[in-house]
Amino acid sequence: MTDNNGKELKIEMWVDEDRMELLRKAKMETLAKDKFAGMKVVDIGCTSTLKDKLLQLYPCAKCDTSTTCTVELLPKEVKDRLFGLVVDMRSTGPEVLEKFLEEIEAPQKM
Amino acid sequence: MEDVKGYSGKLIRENVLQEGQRKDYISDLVELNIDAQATHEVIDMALGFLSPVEGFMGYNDVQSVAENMELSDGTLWSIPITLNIREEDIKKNHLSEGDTVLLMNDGKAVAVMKIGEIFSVDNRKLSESIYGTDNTKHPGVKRTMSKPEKCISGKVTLVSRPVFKEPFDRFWKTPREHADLFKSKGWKHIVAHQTRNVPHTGHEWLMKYAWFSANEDLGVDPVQTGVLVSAVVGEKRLGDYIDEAILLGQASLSEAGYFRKDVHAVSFILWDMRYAGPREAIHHAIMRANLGCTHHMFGRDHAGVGDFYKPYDAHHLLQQVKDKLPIKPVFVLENWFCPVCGEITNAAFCGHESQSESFSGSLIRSILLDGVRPTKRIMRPEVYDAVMNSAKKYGFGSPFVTEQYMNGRSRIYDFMDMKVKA
Repeated sequence: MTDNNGKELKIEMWVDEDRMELLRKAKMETLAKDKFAGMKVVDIGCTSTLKDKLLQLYPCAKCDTSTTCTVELLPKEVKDRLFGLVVDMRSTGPEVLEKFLEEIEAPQKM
Repeated sequence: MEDVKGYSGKLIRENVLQEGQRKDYISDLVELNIDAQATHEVIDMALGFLSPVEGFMGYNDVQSVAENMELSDGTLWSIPITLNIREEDIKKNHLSEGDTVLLMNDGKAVAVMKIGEIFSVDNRKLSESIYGTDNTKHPGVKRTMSKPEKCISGKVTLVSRPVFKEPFDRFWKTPREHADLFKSKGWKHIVAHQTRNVPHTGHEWLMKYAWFSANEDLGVDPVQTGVLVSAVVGEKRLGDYIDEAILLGQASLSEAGYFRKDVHAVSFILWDMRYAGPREAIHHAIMRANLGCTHHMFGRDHAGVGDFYKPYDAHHLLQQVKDKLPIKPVFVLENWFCPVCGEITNAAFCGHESQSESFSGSLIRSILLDGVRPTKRIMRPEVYDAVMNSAKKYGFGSPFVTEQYMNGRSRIYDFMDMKVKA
């Protein structure tokens, strides 16, 4: 789960009251970490391969490998679906992204 | 309306054809199409935003601006204003010095111009002078290098005034209208906050501290200093905030009482950013001085892009030319939220830099992209609502410029349809 610099790659999901409520229901609220001025985030693990697939699918996104090691600027609908999968799968590991990519790629295989 | 002087001391004139003159005057003129950037500059020059420059520059002014950062008469000026034209268009239209042409944009008559000179420029040399580089990764250089090297000069006169669409009509003011606004508010000192952002609390904090700086020794009873939020509206790039969200978000600060209405106003200028860093900072100072502002905020990496300029290069150049500057610069430091201080603070005050939480643009952007309401420490709820309502109403659901916005957005202003030729 690291990039070339040895840092962990992740996707940051901002958590507001609505998302916190979903986390509470899934008993996952402790995963939300303080990030900035009272805002909380949940990090979803990513790998280099998954990152490349995401950036290919969403050219508007980018990966900040130099400072935060995060995949940024993914469309809102992608982030919403990822958050839904975090809660459904009760996980924040790279399997969340794998599942997401499976869902995206499935119709294209038909 | 009273007479208003521009920053050079010259009276600001509004060069617009009288209604009765229009059809007869323009009907037989050769039509030249100009792009959106040139159209913005025509409007700026004709209405006094770029005073004392009233037309596209000739060779001597362009060279003098590039080499000496002044017009050929010695007036401080940092960015050349040129009308570049293809050689084949000069030939096709048999253009000569002394001809009067009709400048057209998007099928509408914009302005008339008597050609003063037809001359050539060296775009690479110009880029090196203005941007300090000829690297085409710099967006200003890229744009300059893409233009033809032939130019025509001449004073411009608008055929009709631009009419702005909602919500821009609420915020559009000419320099003379700014003078009226400031007079009606009783402002003696006005500090300009240049922006292309929706306001987070860090911006609000900067504006409030700049107010104190600009108030100087004016006293506070009555309050005679105001903050003018002066948004830059021009060419957009994917991922920029949409203009509507910027204007309505900024306006919501006083609508919701975070600024008193008598110390806060929002307007915009039409200008396509060059990202020329220090030189562009001087240009912004000139434009805001022409609006009647007495002070101008300059933050970290003002008008910069990528790592082409050092964070405080603009401050250093402004200090070098301060005797010629038409406006007092208010230099502002990078600010941040400090969990130890429990407030927004900055590098001059806070000794907990290692724990500081920076208001990085990409961080705020990522919060808004997630569609998640930021905490009040980051963004006022009314600002967030204004931004997200703008996203729904004008941005096809996004507060950021998307391809859909680029393709679907209608022009923000229009000119009278003259139906010049049958």
